Amino acid sequence: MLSRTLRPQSAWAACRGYAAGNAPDYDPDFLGVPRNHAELLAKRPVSPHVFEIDGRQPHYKFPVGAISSITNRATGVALSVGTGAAAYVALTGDLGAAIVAFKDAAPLLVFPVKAAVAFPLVYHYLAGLRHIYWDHARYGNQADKNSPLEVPAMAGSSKLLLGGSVGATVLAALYST
Amino acid sequence: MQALRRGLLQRGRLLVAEAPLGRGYATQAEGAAVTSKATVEKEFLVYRWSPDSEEPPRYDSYKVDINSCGPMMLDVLLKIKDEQDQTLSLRRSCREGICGSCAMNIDGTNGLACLTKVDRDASKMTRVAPLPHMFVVKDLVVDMANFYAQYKHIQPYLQTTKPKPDGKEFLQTKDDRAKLDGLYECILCACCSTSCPSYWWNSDKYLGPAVLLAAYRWIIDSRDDFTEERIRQVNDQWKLYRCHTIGNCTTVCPKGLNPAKAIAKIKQIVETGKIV
Repeated sequence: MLSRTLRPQSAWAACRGYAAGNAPDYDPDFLGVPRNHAELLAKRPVSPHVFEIDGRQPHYKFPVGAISSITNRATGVALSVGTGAAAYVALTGDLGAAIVAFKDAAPLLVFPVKAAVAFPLVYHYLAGLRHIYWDHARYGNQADKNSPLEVPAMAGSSKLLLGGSVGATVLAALYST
Repeated sequence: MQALRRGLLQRGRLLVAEAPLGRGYATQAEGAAVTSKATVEKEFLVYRWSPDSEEPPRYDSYKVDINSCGPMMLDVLLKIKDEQDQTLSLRRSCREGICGSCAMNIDGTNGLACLTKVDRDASKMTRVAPLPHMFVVKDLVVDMANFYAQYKHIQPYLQTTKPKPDGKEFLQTKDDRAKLDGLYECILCACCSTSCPSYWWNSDKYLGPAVLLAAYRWIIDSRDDFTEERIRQVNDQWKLYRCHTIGNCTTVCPKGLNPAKAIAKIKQIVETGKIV
């Protein structure tokens, strides 16, 4: 019987995860886990994941879908930090004047900085749209190979997203009034 | 003497007239020897760690003639174990991609060793490592206890409130049965879960693609009566929503299954309250 003690969780309990009695357990009798499992685990190394055992060489070969996903996260962080910094300058000084001063002081850096500002905005927005599309797409059966979450569709959409964002960023950075 | 005959047979130079058991090889009696394959040495770097020694993990290099070996990575590993280093530990059983024992990381991608072809380019080294971000028991063998405990947690068995209609079986339409295709074939090899960065960082609390695929398999099984409880159990910030649709799971599944899609469908069920 699925546990009848599963009460409707409050939002707080749902966020904490594994409310009392709700967690997977290492059952020595059923799963055959040794009773000194915790001691054994303390001595075992963790197998290489992102980096090799030297900590420098990459280990896991990430497909392009994973690259697009981590870029989405990185651009999200960049947007939060950048918006915060811009807000700070705007609230404590004059953002417009600061930008003009920067353009006068380093005219050669204008294009790279514009690109660096445009890329997170463009990429995160488009990647977000893709996420919303994934959330609301009508999926058929698992065996149907024509959904947006199949391997070729994900790889294709990731390449399109990355390439398209770079192109749009270049256009945005070139544009000036 | 027998060893010499075996060796010559392998190299195809043993004359047909001396073939064992004197079977009729008349068509080849002209003595045309089978051309032997050239030796192609390829280097394999295999992750090693022993709980008995204090040394840190390392990669050992083995050179194998891939022309005198089977075509799959499992053949290479067993050849290494057989001829070069008996202390190499790995899990293996069916050698045909159905048991899920030989799951490991080959050249940066998870897969079954028995289904992964050896890269015939002899100038490149191939790296063999255990499944990523798992506790290593020895060499390529990892601790699967957490993975199995999570699978047990979702209660992967039929649970009904009603008795069987005719006393014999729970009936199911063809359409309902078709919904299980692409879900029941999971062999619990853990390639998908151990390819998921989200599972790497939160393997204690996030259930992972394999277990969520299994959870979905029972959620949409028309014969199961505990659908609502199953959804409520899985609907959790950690158990379900650590999935960010990274997609590594579907890319590596050796059986061609799609955990990312199953998880997306669980999320849709949670959000809309309707089974999709």
